[in-house]
Order: sequence, then structure tokens, then C-alpha cells
Amino acid sequence: MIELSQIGFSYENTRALYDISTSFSPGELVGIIGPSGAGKTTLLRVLLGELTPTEGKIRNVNGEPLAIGYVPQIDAGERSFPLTIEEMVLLGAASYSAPQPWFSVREKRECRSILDRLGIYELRNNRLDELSGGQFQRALIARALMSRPNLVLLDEPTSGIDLKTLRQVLDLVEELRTEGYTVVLTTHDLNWVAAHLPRVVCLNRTIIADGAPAQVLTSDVVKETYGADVDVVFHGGKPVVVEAIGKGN
Amino acid sequence: MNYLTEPFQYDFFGRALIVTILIGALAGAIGPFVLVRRMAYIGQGMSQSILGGVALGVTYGLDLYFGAAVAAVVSAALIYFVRNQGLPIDTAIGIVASTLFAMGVAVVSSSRDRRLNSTNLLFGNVLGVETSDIILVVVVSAIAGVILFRFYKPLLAATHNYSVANAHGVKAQFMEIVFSALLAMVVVTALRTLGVLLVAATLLIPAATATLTFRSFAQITVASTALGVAFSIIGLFISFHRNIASGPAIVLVGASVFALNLFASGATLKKGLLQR
Ligand SMILES: Nc1ncnc2c1ncn2[C@@H]1O[C@H](COP(=O)(O)OP(=O)(O)OP(=O)(O)O)[C@@H](O)[C@H]1O
Ligand SMILES: [Mg+2]
Repeated sequence: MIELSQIGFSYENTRALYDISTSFSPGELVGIIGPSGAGKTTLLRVLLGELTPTEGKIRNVNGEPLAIGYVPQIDAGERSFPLTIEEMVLLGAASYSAPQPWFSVREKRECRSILDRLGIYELRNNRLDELSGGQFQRALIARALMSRPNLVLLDEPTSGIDLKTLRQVLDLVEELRTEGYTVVLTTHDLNWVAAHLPRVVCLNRTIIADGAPAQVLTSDVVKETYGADVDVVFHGGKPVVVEAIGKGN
Repeated sequence: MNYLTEPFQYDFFGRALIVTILIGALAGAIGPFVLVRRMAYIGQGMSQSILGGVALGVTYGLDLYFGAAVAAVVSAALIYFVRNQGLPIDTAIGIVASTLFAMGVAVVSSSRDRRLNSTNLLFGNVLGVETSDIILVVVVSAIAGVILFRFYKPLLAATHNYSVANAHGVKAQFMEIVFSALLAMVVVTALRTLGVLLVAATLLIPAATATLTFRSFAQITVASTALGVAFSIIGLFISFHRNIASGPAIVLVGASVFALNLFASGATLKKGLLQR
């Protein structure tokens, strides 16, 4: 279990996060929502260990050592790189693979089975810029899995993809959870989180609310998180936020 | 056959050939990493920078390569320092490289030391290759080869996405040092045969040519290495027979092959790396 107690983080002159106390248990699937500038990426970078909290402590309590699989926000620069899908996914193994330029047969087999599972096996010899947004998203997830993680962090996996792909990403994320991975993702897409994730953390520099969507997503909480006037209605037992919120990006 | 055998009547040619082949291979192998970092100017920057080190080193009675190596390290450190102040990397390279280059030119222009021949330093001189140069190049290439063999995967991972590699357990920061070290090795060893102004071309041209044809990074690296060697050999022969300086001959052979390839594959280049 990862436990954050009173975490704060300040960039040179921006206090991006303060008083964050929460925990993520093994096998949990958590969505972090909040408007632009809320500190979602900052929180992920703290979890990644890329940023050291300026306040508070982050601990890995009585669990196996943390191995993080990171699925970054899609970046155009990354996609113009002359790599094949299989090459990129294999790079997830770079830190534990033997000190030679090639990957072992076993690693290649592992990679192919991951590609197969994510439905991009046929595309393994394609270049990165020859994939659609959703296919590339899956390649990024494949690379994260190739690193043999127990915690998977996804930054905005729902941005810039169509409904059908969104559905596929969701299925995938749920599958990861059932396989025992801890999954934490950030998103702008409130309704997607509300409808599909068991737990949501509303973030705006600090935690506004944390829990099951049906409890957490009241119009008051959403207003406080986003600073926008919204209504929450229930549809098929799930909360739906109406009226466009935030600007997204 | 005469065309191929005649040059070997001269001792210097065999020596020059060994050195050029090794440097061609080394620069060819590292070139793809330089290219994908969009740091095309780093090779240029580092090699220009070493002129300052060479000039000062020689003036104070030190070895040519010693001054060059120190300058390469200083140059890399300064470039990263300036960049970390928040300036774009090309600005950092430009400022550091031209300053150290200017220092070099200043010293060279006022010096009477024969070893500080500006033409040779700027454009290289194969006639000047001595046994000690060969030893140095062989040793340094071997070390660089081992480093590249050992760190190819983590280096590629960190080059592709620093944060992701870091998260997945690669020592990304250390890979920056590995990359700079490899680059410094090429730039310093190429000083004698290519001079400080033409090294960058040997880092970029084989790699760029390879990316026109090959799809995977592994193929590109292998092809780039082979092309680096081929350009060096062909260039050296042409240089001998046409009596032109070897550095420009090698670069022009590479540029011609690149241009032909570009022309042939022009239609498919639309989405390629070189477009942006
Ligand atoms: N490298 C940085 N240096 C200084 N300030 C930063 C840096 N990165 C982010 N910030 C600031 O920290 C705050 C939180 O940024 P962060 O990127 O974590 O937000 P976010 O919730 O991920 O936003 P988005 O939804 O737009 O991705 C913002 O005010 C931002 O301006
Ligand atoms: Mg963000």
C-alpha cells in the first residue's frame, strides 16, 4: 500500500499541492480528476519519484517493492521517433534486460504476448507515427507492462481519443486491475470516471473529496473542484455531470 | 586495381585508412542518437569548442588530445549548465560553442607554434596521422564500442522518453553522461583527420541517410555504422587521387549518397524524421 501523508509540493513560486493525505491499496483502480492546473500531473510525478515532496511523506507500507509502469500523456515528439512498436515496447525492459544491445528470446516472447493482449500484435513492425491515437495509447500501456510493474500510472489516457477507443482503454484498465495491478490515472473526463471507476479523487491543489463516484460527485464537490456551476443528475444509478466544465486540454 | 592499390605505396595512407574507418564507424553508430535527440548542433558545438582547449593546451606544452578532451568535457558541462538555467538547448550550445571556438581562434591566430596550423585544426589533415594517433583511436573506439554495446538499450530508452525510462528503472541522468562521453570520444578522436568543423557532418549524414531507408532504430544504427565506414573509405581514396583534403572528400561522398537517396525516396519522406 502506498501512503501519502500531508504531501505538499511547491515549484519555485507555485504551491502546486498541499496537505495531500491518501493511500492506494494493491489492486485498486483510482481516477484523479480536477481542472487544468489542479496539480494532477504534479501528483503523478511525485508518485513516480521524479519530484521529491517539499512537505510530508510518501511511504510504501508493508508491500512488495514499488515497480512503476508509467503511461505518459501522448506527446508528438515521442511519436516522430524512428522506432517500431515492438522496439518501443521492449524498451520497457531496458533496466532489467542483460547488458547487450539485443533483447532475450524470453523478453521478446513476453513482449509479443503483451502486444497480442492489447490487440496491436499485427502492428508490431509499424513505426510509431503509423498508429492511430488509440493504438499508440495501447503501445504506451504495453511498454509500461513490459517493465513488469505493480503500480501503473496513466496521465490523461482519455484525452484525444474517440468514444470507441475510450471504451477499449477502459476495458484494458479494468482488466489490469483484475490482474492485480494497482492503477492510478488522471483525467479531465468527469463522466467517464463517474461511470466506470470505483474510486475517484477530486483534486484542486489539495484533495476536495475522495471515494466512490456516487458519494463523491455531488454538485457541491464538483463546484468546489472546478469552480464552475454544474448540476449532477443520476442516470441508471450513476452520477452524470451536466453542463460543460473546465476547459480541458 | 591500380586505383585501389596505388595509395598503399605511401605509408601514411594505410595509417589514415585505419583511423578514418574507425572514426567513420564510431560516428556512424552514435549518429542516430544525436539525430533523434534533435541535437544536430551538439556535435558541431562540442567539436568547435575543443579548438579552444587544443589551442590553450598546445600553447602550454600539453598534448593535443589532452586539451581537446578537457575542452570537450568543459563544453558538455557548460552546455548543460546554461540549459539548466532555462535556456533552449540550441541557444546553450550556440553560446558555449562559439565562445570556446572564439577563444581557440584567438589563441591560434596569435600563436607561432607550428602545431597550431589553423587549416589542419579546422579541416583535418590525414598526412599528419602518426602511430600514436592510431593507438589512441583504436583504444578510444574500443572503449566507445564497449560502452555502446553495454548501454544501447537504456540509452535508447532514456533518449526516447527521459521520464518514462526513469520511472521504469533506467538511470536516465547517467545516460546523459554516457551520451556526452560517447560524443566527446568521437569529436576528440576525429580531430586529426576531420578537424573541428567537419565532425558534425560525419555524425549526421550516415544517420540521416539510414533513416531514409530503414524502419527500426536497430536497423538504422547498423546501417548508419556501415555507411559511416563506407563513406570514409571511398572519401579517402577520392581524396588521394583527386588531391583534395580528406575531411571534405568524406563529407561530400556522404552528402552525395544522402542526396541520391533523398531524391529516390522523396515521395515517402513526408512523415519522416527529417521533415520537422
Ligand atoms: N515545471 C513547472 N515549473 C513551475 N510550475 C509548474 C511546473 N509544472 C507545473 N507547474 C504549475 O503547477 C500547477 C499544477 O500543474 P500540473 O501540471 O500538475 O496541473 P494538471 O492538473 O496536470 O493540469 P492539466 O490538466 O492542464 O494537465 C500549475 O499551476 C502549473 O502552472
Ligand atoms: Mg497534467
